[in-house]
Amino acid sequence: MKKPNRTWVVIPAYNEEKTLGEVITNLKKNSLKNIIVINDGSEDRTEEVAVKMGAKVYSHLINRGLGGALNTGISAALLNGAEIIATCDADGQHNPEDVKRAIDFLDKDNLDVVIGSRLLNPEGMPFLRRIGNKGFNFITFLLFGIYSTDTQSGLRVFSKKAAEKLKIKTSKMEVSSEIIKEIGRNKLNFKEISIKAIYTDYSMEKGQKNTNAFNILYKLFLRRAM
Amino acid sequence: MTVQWVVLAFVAIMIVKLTLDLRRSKISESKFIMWAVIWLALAIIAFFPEIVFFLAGLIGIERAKDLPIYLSIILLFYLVFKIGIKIENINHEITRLVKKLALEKHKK
Repeated sequence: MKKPNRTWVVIPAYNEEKTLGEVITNLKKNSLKNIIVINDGSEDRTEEVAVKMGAKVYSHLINRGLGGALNTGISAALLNGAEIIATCDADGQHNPEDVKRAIDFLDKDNLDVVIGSRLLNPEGMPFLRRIGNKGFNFITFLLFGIYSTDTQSGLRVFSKKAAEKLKIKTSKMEVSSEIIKEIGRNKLNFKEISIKAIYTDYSMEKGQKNTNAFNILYKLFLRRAM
Repeated sequence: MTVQWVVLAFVAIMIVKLTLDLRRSKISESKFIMWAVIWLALAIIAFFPEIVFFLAGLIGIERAKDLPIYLSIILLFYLVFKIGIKIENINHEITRLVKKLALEKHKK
């Protein structure tokens, strides 16, 4: 990693007191020291845990969803002088080594965006999830003309340039597809890197449900119509 | 024939209300025109129901009474869509506000 002080990891967190502490510890073990936690209006001890573990915490007064949290997190990282911004989930499904690998990949190849894809190597992903993901990707492709094998992945790395250009408008889960749209609109240089997600019962319960696809589809259409 | 006068009175009240709303800039001009046309059309149809038969025949609806129902459904769809967009916009505004408040805290 060339710019350790200029690299920030953003973790959107909503009621993640159980796993957040470990996630931060593991990132720090992998020499990712600059950590921003967006406490998205949690009702549990998420904020307390994050502060105790030495993360910089930005708190939403009320819950706004993944898109809102990512948006705040990316802006916060830029305000802290970040040149590379990584995002990862608070539920512990991302291996911190993968986060680091993705950051190095962006740095080495001078890319704008790197997405950690769980589907370049889909072993270990439950079958229904795999189908669900394929569906999302196809919808995103139809709407925005960019195909990514894992648009819904929470592990992403942005260069400063990409982060500044990114315009996130949606507040909830549909932000994942929106980011793909923004990559296309800004003609950003993007690649995927294979990661292996760690699926626990906990992360399964919290993640995207297949039925959400219809909801997301509707919201994205509304956005297009505006 | 009393029904027609009831409809007319109702339409008159709605138009007065619309005009007042417009004056107090509660609604935009385009909304005013849209609703005024809808209410006036209702009043006209109340006095000349043959228009409905004529229009229904024109677009191939066999039972003339179905035409207003089809139109109402289209209108409702349109309104629901508009409301959806409005709610999305409000949501977006709230998110912007919450973000701003979160970032402010660290500025000092």
